[in-house]
Amino acid sequence: MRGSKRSPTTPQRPEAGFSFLEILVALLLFSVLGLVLWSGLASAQGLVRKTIQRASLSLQILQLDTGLRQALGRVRVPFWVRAEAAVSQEGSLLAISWLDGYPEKTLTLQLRDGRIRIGEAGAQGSFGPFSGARLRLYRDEAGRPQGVEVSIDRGGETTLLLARFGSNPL
Amino acid sequence: MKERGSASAVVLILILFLSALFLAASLFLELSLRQLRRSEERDERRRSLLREARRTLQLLLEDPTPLSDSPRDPVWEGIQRPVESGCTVELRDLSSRLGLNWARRELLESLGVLQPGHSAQELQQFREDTGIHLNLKPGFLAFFSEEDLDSLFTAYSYFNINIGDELALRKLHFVRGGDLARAEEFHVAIQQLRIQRQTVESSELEQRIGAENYRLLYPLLNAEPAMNLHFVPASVLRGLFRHYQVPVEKAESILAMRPSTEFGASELEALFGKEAFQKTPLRQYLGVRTWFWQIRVRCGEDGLSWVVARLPGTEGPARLRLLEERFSP
Repeated sequence: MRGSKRSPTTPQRPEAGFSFLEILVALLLFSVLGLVLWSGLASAQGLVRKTIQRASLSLQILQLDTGLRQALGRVRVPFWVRAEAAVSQEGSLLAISWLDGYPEKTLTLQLRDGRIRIGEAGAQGSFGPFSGARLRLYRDEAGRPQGVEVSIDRGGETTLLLARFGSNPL
Repeated sequence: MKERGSASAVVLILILFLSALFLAASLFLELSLRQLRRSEERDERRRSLLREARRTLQLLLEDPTPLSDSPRDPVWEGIQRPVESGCTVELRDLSSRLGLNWARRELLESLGVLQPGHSAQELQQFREDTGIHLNLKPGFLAFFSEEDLDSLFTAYSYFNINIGDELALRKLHFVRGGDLARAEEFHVAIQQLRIQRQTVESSELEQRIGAENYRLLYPLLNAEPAMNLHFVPASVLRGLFRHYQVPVEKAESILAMRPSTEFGASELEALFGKEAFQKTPLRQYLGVRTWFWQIRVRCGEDGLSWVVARLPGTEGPARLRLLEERFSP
């Protein structure tokens, strides 16, 4: 910027603004500065987005873990029933009877479009979406169902959630 | 262009935008971290509950008199001193009440606790129609008052081959095997035993019911005394003695002695009287071991309930198996 100091000996220049060259240099400087700012901003935005995505996925997994444990903890297959008889699987739909210890009450779990739906008649909870999620029965060494296992792909690494029924076979 | 310098509006907007972005991100991260902390705290509280439950289980396993469970066992003293601060532990005998899934018609009638307008035969039919129940409520509330249902009956009980209702045993066979014809064959075999007034001892169970049925039904079906004399409700004890025409004074004497005495299996004959011990099925109902325990731990607002089963037929230390685990809230 031009200063406002003026020498009394030099003749006063008219305030005619900047020369063409000055404008060009200033434009160039601002362009470079803008470019640097823009790329910094873009990478910061990318970083923030990535952090939010990761945190969001962690939160969703945490919520799924809590929901899964709470729901499966309510499954009380009596000690006289073979656990296999309490579970049925049709495609991606798992149906587990003996919810709260009542044979007619069924808990359903389904993986559809990356979302995991957990619920009973009249009340459904939905978690996700998760990419590369898998839902399957968890069995003991003897092959008896003991709970449900969910694996979720987190960009190369897999998170495994394991929720057991509220009861064990005798 | 202005002589006086001022921040460019573009730069200001950029700063504002960046601040908003970082504020939103940090808020979201803060929320996530808070939820993560809550989850960690919940896990820690659960670990405390589990530690107490495991300690109680260990005390049960370390019983110096494993063939008899009584209020004099060290576990009762041990649970009064929880290791975790602010926690309380309760231990409850779940099996020393009449098994409502198998109790016989005549006994239920004789106890005199059925609601007016309902018969034991109706109850037997109800069991036949609806199967074996884990929750006695609401199904059996039509037949008994809520208080009687809670205090006299249980669903946590093994089926004793000598005293179980024969239709209930057939139902058990069907539930396990899913084959009605085989369940009926088993039912006929049980009827034969009853007609011949034969008592099956634990050691001969496999031979009497056959290897296949044994594999299918044991340990759910066994020949062990169903209830523990130390914990059976007084009204059930008196009712049993009355039903089998054993002088009720003997029941009163047991009730008077049991708070301060640990009975052994070999003392039962003297307690019941020789004739009652040998000629009635009392010893199939009343023994000195508990088959199902409930361990309830409470630490502040958090609770844990375990149902643990003791496997029958062992003569050494108890073999316990965790059947149910429930956290609350």
